[in-house]
Amino acid sequence: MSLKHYGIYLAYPPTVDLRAEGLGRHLAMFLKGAANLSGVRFTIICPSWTVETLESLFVSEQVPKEVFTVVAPRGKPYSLAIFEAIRSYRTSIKNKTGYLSCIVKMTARIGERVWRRAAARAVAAHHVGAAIISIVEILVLIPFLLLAFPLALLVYIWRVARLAVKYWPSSYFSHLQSIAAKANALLVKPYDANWVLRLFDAMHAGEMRRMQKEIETLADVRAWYCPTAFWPDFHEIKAPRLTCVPDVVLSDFPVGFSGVGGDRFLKTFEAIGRSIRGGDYFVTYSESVKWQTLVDRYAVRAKKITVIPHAPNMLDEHVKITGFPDVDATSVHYCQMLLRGALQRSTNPDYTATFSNGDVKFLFYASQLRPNKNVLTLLRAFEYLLRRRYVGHKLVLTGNPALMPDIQRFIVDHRLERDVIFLHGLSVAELAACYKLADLAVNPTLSEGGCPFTFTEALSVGTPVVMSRIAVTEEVLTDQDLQFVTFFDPFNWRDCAERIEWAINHRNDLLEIQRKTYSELVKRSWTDVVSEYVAVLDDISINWQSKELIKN
Amino acid sequence: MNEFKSLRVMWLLNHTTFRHFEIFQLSNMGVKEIFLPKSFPFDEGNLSASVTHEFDKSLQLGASDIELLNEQDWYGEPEAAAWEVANKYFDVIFIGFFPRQMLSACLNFKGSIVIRAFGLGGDNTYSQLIRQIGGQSLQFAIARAGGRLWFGFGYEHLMQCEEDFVANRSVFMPVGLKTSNVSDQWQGNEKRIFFVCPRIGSSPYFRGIYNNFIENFKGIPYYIGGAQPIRINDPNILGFVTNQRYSEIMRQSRVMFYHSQEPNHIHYHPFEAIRAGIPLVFMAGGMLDTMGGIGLPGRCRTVAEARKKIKRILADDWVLIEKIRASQAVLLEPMKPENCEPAWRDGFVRIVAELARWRGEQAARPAVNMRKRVAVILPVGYRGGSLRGAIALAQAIHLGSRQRGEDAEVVFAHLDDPASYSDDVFSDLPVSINRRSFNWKILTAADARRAMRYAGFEGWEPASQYYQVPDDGIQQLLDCDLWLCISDRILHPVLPIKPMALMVYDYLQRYENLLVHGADMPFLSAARSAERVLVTTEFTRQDALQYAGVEPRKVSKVPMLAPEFPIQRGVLGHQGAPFFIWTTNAAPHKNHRHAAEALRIYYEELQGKWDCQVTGVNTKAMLESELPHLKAMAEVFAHSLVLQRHVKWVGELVDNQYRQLLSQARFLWHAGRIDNGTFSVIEAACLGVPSLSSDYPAMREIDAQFSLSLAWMDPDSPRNMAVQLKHMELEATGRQALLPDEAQLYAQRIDKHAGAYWQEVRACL
Repeated sequence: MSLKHYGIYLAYPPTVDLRAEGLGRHLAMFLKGAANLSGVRFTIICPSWTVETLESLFVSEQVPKEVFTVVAPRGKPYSLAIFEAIRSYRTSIKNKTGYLSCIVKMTARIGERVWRRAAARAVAAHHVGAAIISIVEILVLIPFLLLAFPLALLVYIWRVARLAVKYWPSSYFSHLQSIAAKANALLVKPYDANWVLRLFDAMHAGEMRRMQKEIETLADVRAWYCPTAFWPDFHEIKAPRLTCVPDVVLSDFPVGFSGVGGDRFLKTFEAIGRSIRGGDYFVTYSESVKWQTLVDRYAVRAKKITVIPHAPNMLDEHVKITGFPDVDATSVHYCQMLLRGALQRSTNPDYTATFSNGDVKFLFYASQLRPNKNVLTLLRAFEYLLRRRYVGHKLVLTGNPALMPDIQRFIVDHRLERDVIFLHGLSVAELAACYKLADLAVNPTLSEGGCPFTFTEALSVGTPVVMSRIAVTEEVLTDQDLQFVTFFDPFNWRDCAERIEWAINHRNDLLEIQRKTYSELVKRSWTDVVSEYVAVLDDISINWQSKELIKN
Repeated sequence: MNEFKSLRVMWLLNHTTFRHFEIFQLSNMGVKEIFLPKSFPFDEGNLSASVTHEFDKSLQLGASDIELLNEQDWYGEPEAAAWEVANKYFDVIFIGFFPRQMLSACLNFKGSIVIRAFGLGGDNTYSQLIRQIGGQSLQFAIARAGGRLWFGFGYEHLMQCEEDFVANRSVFMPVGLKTSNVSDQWQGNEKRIFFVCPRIGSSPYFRGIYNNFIENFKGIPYYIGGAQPIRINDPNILGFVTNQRYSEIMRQSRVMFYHSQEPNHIHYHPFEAIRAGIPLVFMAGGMLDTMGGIGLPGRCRTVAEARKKIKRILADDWVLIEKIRASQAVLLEPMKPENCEPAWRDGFVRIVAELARWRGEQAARPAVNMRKRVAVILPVGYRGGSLRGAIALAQAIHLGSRQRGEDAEVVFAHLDDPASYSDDVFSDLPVSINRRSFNWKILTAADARRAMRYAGFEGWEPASQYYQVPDDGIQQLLDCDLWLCISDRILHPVLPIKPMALMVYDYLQRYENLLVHGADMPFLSAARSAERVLVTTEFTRQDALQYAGVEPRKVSKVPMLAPEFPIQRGVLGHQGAPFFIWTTNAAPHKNHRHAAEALRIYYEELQGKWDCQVTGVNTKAMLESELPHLKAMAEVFAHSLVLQRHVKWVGELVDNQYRQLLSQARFLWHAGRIDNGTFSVIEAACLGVPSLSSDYPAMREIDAQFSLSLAWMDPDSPRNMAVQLKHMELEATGRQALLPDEAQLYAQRIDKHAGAYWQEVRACL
C-alpha cells in the first residue's frame, strides 16, 4: 500500500515550550493515534527554534518516530541564539559561586590551615631548633597571604560596589538598577516588552517565509493541517489546507482578557481573525464552536466545517503499576511520592514543602488560570464549603495565581492561602497522580473548544468529576442521569458548592454512574480521530485537484 | 559451627537475593530459628522483594505467636503484643535502613538490633540521613538503644565516612552471593548489550541513567533488563521476566554494560553477569575498583572507551571477549560465601557477646525505680478554661500512669507570672504534681548548636535562626523525659533536646480571621515536628491532617476531659421569672452580631417571653467596646428597646455565683460559631439545665461523648436561632429529662479517660 503524506504546520514563536502547551500534548496524542494507521505519514514543518522542544515533547510523550518527519529551516537566527545563550548563562550562574570567590576561599582555607599549624608550633617552641622550624613555617605562609590578600581585596571592593549600587540613594544608581531589573525581566518574560514583541514578530515573520520555501519542496504532501488558527501565513501554502479552530475565547470574554497578555494577545486575536477569513476548510472539536463561532461570528459556510471531537485523554498508564501483590496500594504509594515532589514546587513552598500528610484529601482542577476558566466561582464555592459546611478538603489548582490578580486577591482577602494550593509545571505523571489521589475532580469552565478532558482524565484513574453545564459538555455527556449528578450551573457558586458536597458524600455512587459513560467514551481512540482527520484531508485534497483540473 | 544454635533471629527484610545469602550465613553459624516478615511496603521500588514461609516450621514457638508475628507490618509499627513475643523469644533482629522500622525496633526491642547498610549514592552518609529523614525521634531512639544497636555494613569501607555515633557501632557483615561459581553455559549468540535499568518510568534517577545509556550507545543493539512498574514504550525493554528467561538472556547476550561510578554503592547484577560467564564492561571509579577491578580488561575510564570495547565484542573480537571473561572472576572472590564467612562470624560473635554482656549488666543492676517524668508545659499565659484543661490533662497523665502500674512523675510548668498564677489558681492541682514556673529562653543558632552537641547530638545543625527552650532556672526541664506542650502557640522552634508532644485543641485560624497571613507557620511547624499531636475532637484531628499537614500516624485523638463540675440536680427549683443564660466572651468567633439579631427577632417578632442574662469574661462592657464585631452587635441593641429591656448584662461571675445563676436558668444558650466546643453545656447538664447550641462539628462531638441531648440551631441564620429560642420555651422542661444521668456524667470523669492519655504519652517515652 502506498504511503500517504500529510503535512502539519506549526509556527510557534520563539521561546515557547511545547511541553507546557495544550496543543503540544494534543499533537503528541494525534501522532500516537496515527501510529496505528497503516500507510499514513506526517511531515511536521516548524520553525528552527521549535525542533528541540518538539523532540523533547515527543520523547516525554513516547511518540513513535516512524509516524513523522520534522522539517525546519536550517540554522536558528543568530539573535535568538544569543538571547537564549544569555538566558541560559544567567540561569546557570545563579547556581554557581563566582570563580573568583572560589579561588579566594580556597586560598584562604589553605592559608588558615598553614597559619594554625605554624602558630601551634610557635607557641609550643621550647628550644632553639623548634623556634627555627617555626620561623621557617611562618615564612612559608607569607606567599599564601600575599596571594590571598589582593584577591580578597578585589572581591571585597567588588562586593562593596554592588552593595553601594543597591543601597545608595542616588538617582544614577537607581537608574542603573532599573536597567538591570528590566534586562532581567526581559530574559524571563520577553513578550512583556512591546519592542521585544515587535522584534520577535519580525523574526517570526522571516522564519515563516523560510518555512514556506521548505514547504514548496515537499511535493509529496497531499494536504496540510494546521492545529490552530494562530498563523494566517498557513494560507500561503499552495495546497489543500485544513485549519483547526479550537475556539476564539477572547471574543467571549473580552473584558477578562483585556488585562491578560497585553498587546501580544491582541495580535494573536487579530491573527486568528485573518486566519479564519483567509481559510478554506475548517475543523472544530464541537458543534457549538462550529455554529456559534465560525458560522455565526465569522460567516464561514457550514459545509466547509467538519466537527471531529477528541478522543478521551487517559492518564492511567502513567500511574498504573504492575508486578506487585497489591498493585492498587503500590500505585497509591507511588502517586503520593509524586505528589510530595510536586508540593515542593508549589507557589507556597514554605507551607507545602514540609506538609507531611500523604493521605490529604483534596479537590482538583487542572487548568491554566484564564478568564474563561471561572476559577473565582469555584473559589467562592470552596470557601463556603470550608468555612460554612466544614468540608475540610483542600483545593489543588494548577497554574500561577500571580498571573491573575483577581484570583490572587480573592485568595488573600479570604485567607485561603493554606487551603488552596497552586501546583505548576506538573509532569504528566504528576498530573495523573493528582487526579488519582483527589477525592473529586472539578471543572467550572465557562467556555471550551470541546468537551473538557477532565472527565476522561479523572475517570481513567478512578476519580469522579463534577463539571459546569456548558454546551460543549452537553454534546458529549448526553445521558440525563449522568448530567443530573455531574453538572452544575457555572454562574451559581452555591449550585457548584452543593454539587461538590453531594459528590464527596456520594463518591462511589457518582463513580458508578460516570463509569458507564466513560466505558462508552473510551471506545473512541485517537486512531479513530486521526482517521477522521485523514478522511477530511483526503476530501479536500480531491476537491483541490478537481478545482485545479477545472482551472487548467 | 553450632555455637549460636540457641539463638533466635528475626531477619526483617524481604530482598530475595540478600535473603538467600544471609540466611545461609546465619544457618551456617548454627542459627536454626529464623523469622522472616510476611509482607513488605507498597513501594514501587521494592522490586526485588518476596515473601517466603519456609522458615516458619523451624520456629519453636506456639502457632498463635507465629500467626501474630506474621500479621505484623514490620516496616511500620507492629503491635505491642508482637514486640512482647519478639522480646520473649528472639535475641537478634536484622532490619533495613527504614526510618519507621528503625524507630520501632529501637523503642521496642530489647535484644540486639543490626541495621543492614549497603551503601548510598553520592556523598550521602547514614549519619546525615538519620538526621534528615529520621529526625530527632530516631536519634533519641538510637541513643537509647546504646550498645545493643549495630550498623551492619555490607562493604568494609562504608564506615569510614560515618560520624562517630555510627562508626563506633559498626560491624562488617559482607554482602555476598549464595552461589558464586562461574557458569560455563554462556554462549553469547545475541549481539546486544544487556543493560539492567529498572524503574525507568517511575524513578527520575533511573530515567536519567536510561537516557544516558541510550545517548551514549546510540546505534548499538541492546536489551534493557529490570522490572518496570510503569510501562515504557521501548521494544528493547524486557520488563519483568521469569528467572528462566533472565538466565537465558544472560546466557545469550554478548556483553553486559555496568554504568555505576558510585564509590559507595553497587548492584547485584554485574556479579550475576560474571557468574553467568557473560563478559562485563564496566566504568571505572565505582565500587568494582575496590573489589579487584582496577586493571581488568573490562574496565573503562570513559564512555568512548566503553563504546569501543563493546563494539569490538559485538564484532566478534573473541580475543578481547575471552580476556575479559577469564579475568573478571576475581570480582566474585569477595562475594563468595566462604570468603564472607569469617567476617560474618566475627561480627556475629561481637554482637552476641555485647548482648550477653548487656544482659548480664542489666541483671546485676541495682533495682532503682526509674520513674519517667513528664513536663506538662503551658506555653502562654492561659487562664480560665484553657488553664483548667491543662490541669485536667496533667491529672490524667498522673492518674493514667498509676492505673497501669507505671507511676510517672508529672511536672506542671507555667510562665513565671505571679500576678496571673497565684497559688489559688492551682487549687485543683493534686499535691503530687509538682509545679514549676519558667520563662522561654531564646537561643541563637550558634548557642542552640552548642547545646545540642553538648547533649550528645553529634552533627546536629540548626535550621532556624532562633530556638526557644523552657528555662525553669534549674535545668531547663531537662530532668524530664518528655515535654508535653499544651497548644501549638510557639513562636520559634523548640530546641529538640527532648522529645516533645503537643496538645492542640483547635485550628480556629482556619475558619476565623484571627492571624495575619504567615503568622500560623511557626505553629504548623511545631505540630509537624512534634513526636505526637494529641487532639480531643475528630474535627480538630482532620484539621491537624488537612490544614497543619501532620503525618497521620502522629495524630491521636484522646477523649475530651471536662472539669469535674459538681453534679446537683433540682436543688433549689426555679424561682422568679423564667430566663435563659447566654455565656460568651469578647472573642470574634462567638457570633455576637447574629446572636443579637436572633434575640431581636425572638423578642420583637416571635414575642419571646423569657429574658436573657449574659455572663462571661468581659461581657459587662461589650456594648461599649470598639472592636468591630462587638460594635456590630451594639448597633443591633441600640436600635431595639425591646432588646435592651429583656437582655441583662451580668458580667463575669465567680464559680459559685455562676452555678447558682445557672441552676435557675431554664436553659443555657451557646451561640458561638466555631471552636473546639464549650464545656459550659456540660456544666449546665450537671446542674440539670438543658442547652440550645450552635450546630457545628465540635459541639456534635461533645453532645455524643457526654450524651447531652443538645437542641440545635444554625449559627449563620439569626432567624433560625430565634425560632429555636422560641421552641425552647416549650421544650426546655421536657429536655431536662433527656439530660444524662449521674452515672453517665461520672463515666466521663478524668479517672475513666486517664488510661487513654497515658497510652499516648508512654509511646513517646
